[in-house]
Amino acid sequence: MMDHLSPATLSAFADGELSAEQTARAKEHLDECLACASSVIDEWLLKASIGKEGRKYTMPAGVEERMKGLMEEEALSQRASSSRAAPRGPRETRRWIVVGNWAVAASMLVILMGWGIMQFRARQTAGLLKRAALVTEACDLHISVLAANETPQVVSSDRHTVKPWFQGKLPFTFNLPELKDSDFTLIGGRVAYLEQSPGAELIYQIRKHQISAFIFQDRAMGSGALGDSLARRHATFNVESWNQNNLRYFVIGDAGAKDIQNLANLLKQAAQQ
Amino acid sequence: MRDADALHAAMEKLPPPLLEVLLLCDVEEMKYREIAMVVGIPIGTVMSRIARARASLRRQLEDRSQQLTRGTGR
Repeated sequence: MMDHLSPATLSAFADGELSAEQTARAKEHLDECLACASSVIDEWLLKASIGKEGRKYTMPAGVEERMKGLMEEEALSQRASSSRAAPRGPRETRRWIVVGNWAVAASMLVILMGWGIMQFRARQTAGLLKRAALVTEACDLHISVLAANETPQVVSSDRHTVKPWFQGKLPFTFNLPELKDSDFTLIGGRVAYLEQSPGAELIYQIRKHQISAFIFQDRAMGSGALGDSLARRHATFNVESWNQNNLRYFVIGDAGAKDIQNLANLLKQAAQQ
Repeated sequence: MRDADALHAAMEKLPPPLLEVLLLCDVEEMKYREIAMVVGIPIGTVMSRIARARASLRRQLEDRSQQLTRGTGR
């Protein structure tokens, strides 16, 4: 486990008070640890604010005198070693250090922002790929059922027959809609697998079109990438997908988008009961 | 209350020994070694006082920010 820098080390790093070896170790850690890197930036910002706000304070008399004494000592020692043409005063030198610190802070901020944007884009791209893969896999399931022309594992137009058939076959339960006032007919159902997770495939018909409604556990297949709901065309199929009661629904078919939406609405209403 | 006022109020609450080293470091831009000489304390004490002073300021500013959030949330 990575140990974070202590508050005293963070402060000393921000003040440029660590030894060369300590600074190298701290920098090595900061390259890896976003939390500490952001703490150092906080430290620099707070230090700058204190520097501005603190000018309103006057130092106690004793401290002021000892500071003057120290400054005179510094000036004397600088004069003694006046080998340089234009020596900088201690305050001026410190100002250059502060400017240097700010330059480092600014570059760290740019690096952090760049890193954040790259992470965000990577997550976005991964989400889009995951979404495309799940919709494609669900469409493939629907196509394979149509192509195989197999009889469903449970054949019945009665939802009170089809739903209990899934008992013990799936680790969840669901409600099926009443269809008597609609143009849809329930044909039957079977167990389907998406991302190695078992789910229900319900087969409906409207006019000559066969529609598959898939229900899976949302978390088991990591379909968070799909978002709450999705309606799109995929390989000329109309697809509706949504999350409800921690279940992921897909309604897929070559029927019109309106028909797919109507069946999706019936399933959504049934899930609310 | 402006941010500067909040910081000023927080600095007012710092114990004098902590405020003194903090001002010498951040306003007078003195090195820890120089602060130690001026105040007459070991350099390690300077380091810990500065860290404690900044931690205390940050805590006070965060508390104030949370109070403001609760106040506007009502």
